[in-house]
Amino acid sequence: MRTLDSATDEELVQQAQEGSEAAFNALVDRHSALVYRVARGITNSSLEAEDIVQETFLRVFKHLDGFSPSKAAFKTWLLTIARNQSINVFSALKRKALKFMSDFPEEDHNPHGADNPFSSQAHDLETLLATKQEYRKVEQAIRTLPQRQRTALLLKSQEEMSYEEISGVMNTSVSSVESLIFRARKRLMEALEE
Amino acid sequence: MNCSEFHKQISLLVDGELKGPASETLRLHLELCPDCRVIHQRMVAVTDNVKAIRGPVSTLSLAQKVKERVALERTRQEQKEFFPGWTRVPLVALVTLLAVGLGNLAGRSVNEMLAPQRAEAMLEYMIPDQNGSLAEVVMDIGAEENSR
Repeated sequence: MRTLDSATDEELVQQAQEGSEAAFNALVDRHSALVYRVARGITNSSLEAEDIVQETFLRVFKHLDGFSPSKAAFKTWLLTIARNQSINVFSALKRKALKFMSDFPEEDHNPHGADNPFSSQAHDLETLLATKQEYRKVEQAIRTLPQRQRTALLLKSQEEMSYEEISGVMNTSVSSVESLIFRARKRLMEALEE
Repeated sequence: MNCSEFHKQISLLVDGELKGPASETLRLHLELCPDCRVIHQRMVAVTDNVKAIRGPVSTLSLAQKVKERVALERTRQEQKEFFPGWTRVPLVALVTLLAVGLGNLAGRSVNEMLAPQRAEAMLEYMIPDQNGSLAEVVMDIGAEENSR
């Protein structure tokens, strides 16, 4: 029998459907960061993103019996739930006219981390500051994008999902995804040029 | 095809979503068109920047919270399965029948059963005896519950 780490999502789901708590926990470990990033990308709020992660997995647990791998990949299904939750929260935030621009704590990101390509350039303090500025500029530019454009772009660029997968998550056509990503890039290019 | 039409294809190329002859046509165009080459470079740069801000996210404590919440839900569901609502109906019915049976067996009013003879007069004054048996009282309480 394969270990939980090496099992595919669908195998874990099947075990979880049969009542395995460990299999469900493995899915949580595997995907909570992904759900968190998507939720934060849509809502622009780290606090809300944490709640969304919890709500998403709770929904997944409650509706696990209704999931069928023949209909969609688990990741697509999971992100569809996360996206719907995030949109609800985002709409509520908008309605309350919260200044979500300020709700994006710096400590969530580590610009000097191993994953960050900027880190190799940060040889001295000046470069470091310039890098940080550039980093903030990109973040701010992304936040100004319309929600759908932002979601599509983040799913593509950060989560490396295919257009088809994104269209599944966003419940739209592949050509719409193409347009959303293209328009998002154009807007980002303009914003970063200013 | 003009340059602005190629721009959308450049976006597809950057994402690795442009396949077949369209991809070759675009590559040829990029070799010939310096403006589109610049657009291509800028799109690649923007994509790299968006990737760069992804950053590492530590969700260990968050995952733990999720697991605890799901475990709570699991327990709740298990309890519900073990003792679902409908199983309470026969239990309540059994208790009611028992009470009715006992009341009938006793054949006395509530006051007679609960109060000693000496205090009966005083109790009669405070709570007038309706001459109802225990069964009648229990049935009344049941009817009151139902109407509520």
